[in-house]
Amino acid sequence: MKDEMNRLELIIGKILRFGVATAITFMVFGCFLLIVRNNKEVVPYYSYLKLSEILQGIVVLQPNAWLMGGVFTLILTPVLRVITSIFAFVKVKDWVYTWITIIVLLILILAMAFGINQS
Amino acid sequence: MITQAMIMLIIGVIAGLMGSILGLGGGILVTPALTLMGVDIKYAIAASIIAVIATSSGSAIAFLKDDVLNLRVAMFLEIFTTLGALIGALLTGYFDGTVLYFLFGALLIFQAWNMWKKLRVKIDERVEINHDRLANKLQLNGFYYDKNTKKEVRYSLKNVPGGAAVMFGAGVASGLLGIGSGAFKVMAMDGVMKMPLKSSTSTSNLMMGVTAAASAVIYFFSGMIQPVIAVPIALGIIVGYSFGARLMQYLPSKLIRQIFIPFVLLMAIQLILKGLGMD
Repeated sequence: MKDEMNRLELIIGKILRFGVATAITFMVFGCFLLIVRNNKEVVPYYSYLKLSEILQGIVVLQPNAWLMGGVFTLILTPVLRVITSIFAFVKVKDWVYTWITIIVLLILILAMAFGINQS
Repeated sequence: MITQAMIMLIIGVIAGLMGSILGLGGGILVTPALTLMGVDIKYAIAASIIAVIATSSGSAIAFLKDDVLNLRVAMFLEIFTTLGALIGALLTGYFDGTVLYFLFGALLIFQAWNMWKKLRVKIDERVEINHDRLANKLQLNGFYYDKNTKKEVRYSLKNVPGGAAVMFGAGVASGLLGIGSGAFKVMAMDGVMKMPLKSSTSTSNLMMGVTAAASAVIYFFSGMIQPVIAVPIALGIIVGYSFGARLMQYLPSKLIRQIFIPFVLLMAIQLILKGLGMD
């Protein structure tokens, strides 16, 4: 039981690491683009507010879009961790904690939806 | 602008180091440091939320591997923090936060005093063995290997409803006041539920990311996150935590408490000053 749990914690750790590594890659590449491309016309205070704009910006190698993409990926890592934990608890057949984690995810989604509507 | 980014990177490294050791998320450092640099307070707060997530996800990687944190405790208590945060966010429009600043400030001073008492009474970090029915039923008890004392520490928790109540309060505080409230999370686990300090701080770190993610999404879509501020801070934090999370396991719990107390007091003063209308 404890071994199984340890193995699952390791998997969750790996998924988190993947999320953080992706975020770092985006942010570092964004910095690189900022230095290479925007050397003269620096746009310090500018951000993208729509996900579609970020995706378009990423395609055309816009530095700020890459930076914001990295930040957004980073924001999503805790959500990713909660989702993975659900599968982890299902796998060890720990139904009490499967439900507890599903409840956490639902509240989290509710809070995010509320926040997006507010802003 | 490069120099400014370098300074932010360094702030991030220090915040990540402290945050991962103390379980506070680094927010208490990032916001005042950025405001002192002349960054608008709302951008500073948004950057500090990103800092909290970076510390949380980052140190969680290291701690999950070494088994100091308790995933079940984190998951169970997250019900209360997320629910608290949601209710806190819903209340923002209707509620005057001034009283809360005082209340939470006073609570933190109480927490610092409690920790100071523990520091004086016990030389060793002693772990009580409790037979709490709810803690047993929810499988909240656990163990970890302390790299400082080179011993396996087995622990059991007590007063689960009390801890859950403090967690709910911590959630309301983060939703209503926009603070990470890591200090309250450590207080609920270490103070109320009698979880060992190292497990408390690392579990607090893991939990904080989830609470912060909801607020971060709000900040993201309302344009409060400025990439040129948030990115160097986040990158610095990630460097800082990778040292901090490893270092923390080798530090004596007593030393962690000694560092923790002034930080908690600093945060208490910050909150009370805010309550008085002085930022």
